[in-house]
Amino acid sequence: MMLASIALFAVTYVLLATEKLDKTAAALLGGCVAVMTGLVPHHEALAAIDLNVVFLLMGMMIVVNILAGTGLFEWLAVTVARKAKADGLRILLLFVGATALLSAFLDNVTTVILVAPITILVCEILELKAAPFLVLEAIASNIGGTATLIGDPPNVLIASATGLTFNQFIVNLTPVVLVMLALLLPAVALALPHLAVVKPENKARLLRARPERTILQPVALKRGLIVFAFIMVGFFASHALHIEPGLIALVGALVMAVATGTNLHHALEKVEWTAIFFFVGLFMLIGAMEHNGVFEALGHFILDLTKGNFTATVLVILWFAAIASSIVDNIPLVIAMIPLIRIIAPEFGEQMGLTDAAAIRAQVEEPLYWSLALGACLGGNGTIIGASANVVVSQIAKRNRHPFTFMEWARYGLPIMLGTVAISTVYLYLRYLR
Amino acid sequence: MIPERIPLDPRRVLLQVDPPDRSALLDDLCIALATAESLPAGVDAAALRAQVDRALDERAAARTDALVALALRVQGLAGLRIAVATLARPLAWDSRPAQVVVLVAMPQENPAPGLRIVNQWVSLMADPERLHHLLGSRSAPDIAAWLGRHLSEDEGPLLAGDLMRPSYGRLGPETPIADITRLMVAHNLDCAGITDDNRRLLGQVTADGVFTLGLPDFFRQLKSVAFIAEFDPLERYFRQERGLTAKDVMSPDVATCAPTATLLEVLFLLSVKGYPKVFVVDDDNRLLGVIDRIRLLDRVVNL
Repeated sequence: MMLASIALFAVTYVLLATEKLDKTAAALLGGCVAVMTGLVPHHEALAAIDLNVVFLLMGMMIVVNILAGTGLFEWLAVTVARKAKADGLRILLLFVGATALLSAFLDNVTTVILVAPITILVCEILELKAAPFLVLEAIASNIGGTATLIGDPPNVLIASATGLTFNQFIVNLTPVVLVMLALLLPAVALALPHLAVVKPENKARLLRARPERTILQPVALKRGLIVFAFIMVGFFASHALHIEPGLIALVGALVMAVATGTNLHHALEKVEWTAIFFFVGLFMLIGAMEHNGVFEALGHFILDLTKGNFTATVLVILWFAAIASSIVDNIPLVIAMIPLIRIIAPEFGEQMGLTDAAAIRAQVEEPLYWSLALGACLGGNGTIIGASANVVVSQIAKRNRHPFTFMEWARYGLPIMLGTVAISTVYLYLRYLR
Repeated sequence: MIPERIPLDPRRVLLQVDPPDRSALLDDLCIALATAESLPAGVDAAALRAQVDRALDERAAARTDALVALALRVQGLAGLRIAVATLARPLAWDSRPAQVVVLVAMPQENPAPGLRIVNQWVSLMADPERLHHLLGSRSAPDIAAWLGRHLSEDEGPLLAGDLMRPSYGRLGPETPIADITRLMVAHNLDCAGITDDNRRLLGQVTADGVFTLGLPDFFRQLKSVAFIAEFDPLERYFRQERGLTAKDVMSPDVATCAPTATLLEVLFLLSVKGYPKVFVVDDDNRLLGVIDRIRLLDRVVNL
């Protein structure tokens, strides 16, 4: 049964990686086949579906779409561009910074879908090439998303499976992300100084833009932002309130829909149901592997491989997750790695002489999860296909006559991926492994 | 079934008239309409004239470039009555010159055959050859007989074949986009059918398709562009369309129906399915005519 589970997962993974089949169909088929062939009991497969993740994704998709409908993101972009005095380089840096910030609170793909169109428009007005802007924004969205529980699906998955709180993500991941951005922005300024050169007439055009005209629904925007603030407070207080972030997001989204007068039917239509069912299928598939002891066996294999060296294990997870994520989808990888970490953590705790469950969690489990989160989130920057945001941005760029190639992406993405994972290595070592 | 032909009284055919204004022409037509057979009690030329004014207020006139056809519903009228005038000089009518004006009086209780006659008039006069024949004729009996051959009163429901208009010339897959858009502008169309050499329908070019090709995709993701004060890239965006032909923009997804399709079927395609236009085709997919939304709207408001 164990081998059959591994084989089914491998086949599904190949289908996902090669895109021979729609990825939602592949994941759902994999999950259903696992149940139908008896690899996992029906009730266990259903129990493996993490509704906290599903609710969190649904809720945030609804929230973002309601806010986007008000014209908020166009306002933000036009205001930023004017504040930058229509200087191409300043705009790039501010857009990259803003994308990272937005991505910390919104899903990466959603962030780039919101930011890319207005970026292309600004570039066309300034007669600048949009490709470097789009590539760096996608990269920034992957980095910014690493900072919080809700910023990137791997973090959502890790938080939901482990009970790590919103605040723990901020305390443990946000500092290193800030360091990365603090180094990235000056590096970009040094690498692309020519972007500062913009024709005066093009600058004047952008400076005459009217940001006040971007807001289409001022009342809905005010109400939406108030509800959004409450949702954020809810995330911060979720641990104290004993309410899962998924429920906070979903309730917040429904309250926002009512407060802004959004038709709920239309709001639900905006949910990316294919993404939701992709997760559902993977949860069922991983449930089958867990049921058949795959992760237990894999855990012992990793312990043998690292010879019980905790530091080596943390760094192997970081770099393995990063390199794998730069090639294949990081979501199934993270879903598979979580139960693995859960199994190997007590072994390390025993080796380190820790008997208290809380101590094992704090000193063993958590560093392993932070390394997984950093590796999976940042690794995607390595290649054009490494993260969903990259793929989406490259499609948008191509459709709008600003295409960039695999190698053009790699010119920016690969060094930034290697640099940020190297920074993570130093951070993990200094903070958790010394 | 052979459709029943309309006997047209030559006394109601006014040829080459030259009225001083629209009102005088309508007076003459109402008098012609009231000629010969007796009308229901209380209905005379003056009553018909008042009804014409009401019909004009309700915008119940059907139009082509040359024709104005007015439908009048008359309480107690036994059958259809048609009066027609051809004009020696085009007469200004709602900012468009009219050359043929028709009044169709129909029983209030059974308007469908009369409305079909109005539609047949529209189809007839949209054909340049037939329009030319009518305008050039000097003999009322000949014209009455000629019209009688082309108009038919059928008791069945209105059908697509009654409603359709001929298409404006043939557009093939190799027709340049510039020519297609010029034709669309000239005839106020938002969609044009593309056919092969045998007039078989291949697809359609819509105004939206032309815009989509020129306007970059990112505009579709923006919530508005009102904030842009000075940026006019349209010439640049649409420059690439200059070398394109119909096949580059054509969509094969078209709504078609047979000439025997009911009004409900046409309405379903236009309203529920959201097609801009229904193409009426024969069994061999050869294009027979076209029904636009506005054309259908113009007809259904008269029902």
